[in-house]
Amino acid sequence: MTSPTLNDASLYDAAPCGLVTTSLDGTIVQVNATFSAWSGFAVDELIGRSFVDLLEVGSRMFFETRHFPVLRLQGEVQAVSLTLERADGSPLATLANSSLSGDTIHLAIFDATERTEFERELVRARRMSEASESRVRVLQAAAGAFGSSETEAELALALASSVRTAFAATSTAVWMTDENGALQLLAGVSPLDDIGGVVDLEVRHIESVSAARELSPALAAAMENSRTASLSVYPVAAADGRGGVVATFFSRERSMDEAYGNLQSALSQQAGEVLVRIRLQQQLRHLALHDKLTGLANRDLFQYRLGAALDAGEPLALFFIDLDGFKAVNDGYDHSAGDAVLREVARRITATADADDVIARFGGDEFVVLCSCPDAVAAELAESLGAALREPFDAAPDAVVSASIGVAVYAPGDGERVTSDELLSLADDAMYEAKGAGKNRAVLRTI
Amino acid sequence: MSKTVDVVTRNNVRVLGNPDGRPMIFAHGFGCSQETWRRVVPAFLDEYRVVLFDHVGAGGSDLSAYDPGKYDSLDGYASDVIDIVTELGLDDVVFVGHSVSGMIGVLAVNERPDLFGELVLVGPSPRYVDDVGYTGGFTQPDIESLLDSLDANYLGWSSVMAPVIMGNADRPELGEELTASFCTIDPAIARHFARVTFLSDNRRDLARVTVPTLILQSEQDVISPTVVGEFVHASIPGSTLVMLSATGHIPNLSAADHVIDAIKSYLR
Repeated sequence: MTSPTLNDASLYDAAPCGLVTTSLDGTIVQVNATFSAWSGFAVDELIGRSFVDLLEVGSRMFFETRHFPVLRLQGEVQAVSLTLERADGSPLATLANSSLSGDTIHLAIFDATERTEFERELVRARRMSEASESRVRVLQAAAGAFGSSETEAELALALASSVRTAFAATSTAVWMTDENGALQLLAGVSPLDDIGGVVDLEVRHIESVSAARELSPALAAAMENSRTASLSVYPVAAADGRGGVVATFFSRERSMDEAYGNLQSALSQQAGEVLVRIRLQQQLRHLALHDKLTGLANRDLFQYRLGAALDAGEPLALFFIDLDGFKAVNDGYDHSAGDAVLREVARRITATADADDVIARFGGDEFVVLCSCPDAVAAELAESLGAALREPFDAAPDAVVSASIGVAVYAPGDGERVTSDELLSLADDAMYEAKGAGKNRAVLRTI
Repeated sequence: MSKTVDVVTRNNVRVLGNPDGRPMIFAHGFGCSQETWRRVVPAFLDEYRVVLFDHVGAGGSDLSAYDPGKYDSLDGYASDVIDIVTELGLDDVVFVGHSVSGMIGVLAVNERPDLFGELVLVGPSPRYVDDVGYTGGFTQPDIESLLDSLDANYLGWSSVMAPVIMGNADRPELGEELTASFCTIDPAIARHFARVTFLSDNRRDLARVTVPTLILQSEQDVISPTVVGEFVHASIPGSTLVMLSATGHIPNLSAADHVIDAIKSYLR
């Protein structure tokens, strides 16, 4: 740069903006009086210094990582917000224009204190509104996803996904308490194989591996092995006492402040409420499809399962079981004895039949079993059922109870398809035939 | 969830140079895009098959691929590097990473040592924030101050620094126009990337590096001071540290010749 003439020099020094010239590596080679006055450093204190040293640390990082490459690639950068650190340590907010010419960088720096202050307020307000907006959005999306869940597994999946999105987490995992009181992983991924001792029904913030070490060395080791740097655990409280847990895993250390805790609590609380609703619905559905006394499927559920089995086109055997001598139980003992016998019948049929077989109580002392088995197996099962049911019953020790069993065996062929009703009525007929032939026996019919 | 990912589009991958040459990947740091390598790359085109790419959120990458959970740690970025290498069918790769991409390279190499032959780290730092017995050069409030500075430049009056983009995740085709300006980055992603870059701690990963490693350290670097370069050198077994007579955090722009010479003489 050519030296300014006297007139130029006074213009240069009196310019209402700071003017700074640096070499390519940022060393200050010339400044004007305005910049010297603003910075609080004498001109000769500034010459030879690195310009970035005059910047407050955040601006320095921005300057180095962003301003510098853009300037080098583009040749000029305008209106960059940079905060200077003055000689007395106080900050000066500025806007800077920079241009590159040959081996020098020219900077024009404008005092932007008021504007920057105003903008900071705006940005702060914007950040706050964005934060609350994003919180509302997360909760709304979660409410939608939780609300449309019909099973615990779907809810667990929705919770895992909502939490992962809300906190930009590496992974999330959701456990729910099963009927036996044990936590089962229902959704998501846990990077830790053994999370025992941490996943319980308590809020936990583990912000670093060293924090984990104080809790349990095994946990700290597991975190290190799985590249987990921090994690949190939040209980999903359910009014029925069988809640769950959502764990959130991060691959870097994260600070878990009040806002973090509030949102985690809100999400897990929402999930807890939906969990209770889902369980009630499941209970209702169970009640609607099961026999209250024995817990077996009822006629509706059996019809549904029979239709599905026929659709699948497998060989089927349908057992129609009617107890012999049950009336005597009801007459000779009280009703609770009759109920106990029916429950025991259900238990014996369940124990005798295969786990995959469908067992239902049609009402009174009528039971049905549907088995996907060929006729030889069906004949054997009929024998076993008959044997199981003629054993004495503790609730009515003197009563002589047995079973008349009608079996309809169906092997799907090329011919016309059999209907549920046809199969049921064939088994019913066979059962009456067994009754007519002296009870306590099985009659097989093939269709 | 598992939709097929077009890695080349996602990371704006460009393959240049000698198609039969040894593969050499250049990875850019925080604040810019693959353009930071424009002064270094020409020197390697005759001999190497040069691969350039943008991290998701920068340059011509597909912004819709930004999964905040995935990119909340450098592991997510490292998995993208591995995707690029496997997608292009490369091995014995020379990985050259500037700044935060140095650590991204370390993680990628540790995950798949079979794919990489050499690692070149330009101004790396495994942890920017000071810790007990460790000097990173910054404090937690310093990082908050950087985030304020990003806000001031991306959200305020001076948002000229934030090129026209604004995250429009639904329109990845916008990426096309962006390459017209320099060092484009999505402001929202830049803010998250700043956190991930400056608040990560990958010191423990250095000792696991098994491929030959060259560390290039500027004599004057306010982002990664020499003490950090020395820490990286001491932590990676068998690594080589070369001090560059350069000022600033981006010697690949400010002292490209030194960077080229150092890499070439190391690989020779």
